[in-house]
Amino acid sequence: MESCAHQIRQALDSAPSNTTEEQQAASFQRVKDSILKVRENDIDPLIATLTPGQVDLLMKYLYKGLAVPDAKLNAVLLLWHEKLTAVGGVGCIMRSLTNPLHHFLAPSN
Amino acid sequence: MSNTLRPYLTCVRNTLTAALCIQNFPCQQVERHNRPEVEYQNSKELLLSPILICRTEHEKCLIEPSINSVRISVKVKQADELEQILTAKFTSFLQQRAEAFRIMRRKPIEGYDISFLITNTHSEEMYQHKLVDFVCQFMEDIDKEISELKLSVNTRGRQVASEFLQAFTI
Repeated sequence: MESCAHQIRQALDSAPSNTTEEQQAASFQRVKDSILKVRENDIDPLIATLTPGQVDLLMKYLYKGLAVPDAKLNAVLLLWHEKLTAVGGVGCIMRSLTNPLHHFLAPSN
Repeated sequence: MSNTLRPYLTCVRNTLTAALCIQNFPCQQVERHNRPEVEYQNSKELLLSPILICRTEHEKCLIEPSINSVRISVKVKQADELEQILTAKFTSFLQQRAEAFRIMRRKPIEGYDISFLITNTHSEEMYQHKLVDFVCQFMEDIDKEISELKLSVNTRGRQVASEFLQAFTI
């Protein structure tokens, strides 16, 4: 679990430096892969360890993932979305609306 | 199957609650005009980024927010041709009576079955949380309605066929 948490935090922290299409796609894939590895019971404690900036970034990645019609992955993403909203609140969602990933060259905080 | 329905509806509900922060905003191009910016898509600075929530390939929800209006488009799950026809007829019935719904759009967005347009006047006249409740309840109920319609079509067909064919039995 620690390694999964560490992987997710790494994937989120490396995101701001991605400016090209391929880098963005690669970092998105990294986040998706590390999300799939986390077990259901470990999601809550993992989210509790994220900083607010990471929570915002994770929410943006969740929305990017939800836009793709992949039923199995989206079931996991929807679960994460519910738990992340409990921590980040509606403000976190608001920031994904105003400052989405494709405008993203620097962290929103 | 229904274990993803709850998270899907919760996700839509939370996103809608965030997106429904709308206010009155007069038109910037034409004097004395006030129009829902999400429908015109003219000024980039007035539009927020659209959010697409896909539960599966055939069931998704598109939320397009802007400064004074939000457009919500829903694609209902349609498993077979009969459900497609039923959904088309049912949504067209509702859309013809869109005036009564007030927030319903008369035509759905391309690629979706039904669309809602919520403007700042709606959010001024009605409670925001109730608007969100309505849309989420609508999404939940339309699935049930289509299943009921399909069931009754099959039952009626079976009854009609057996009555008809009784005339040919000795």
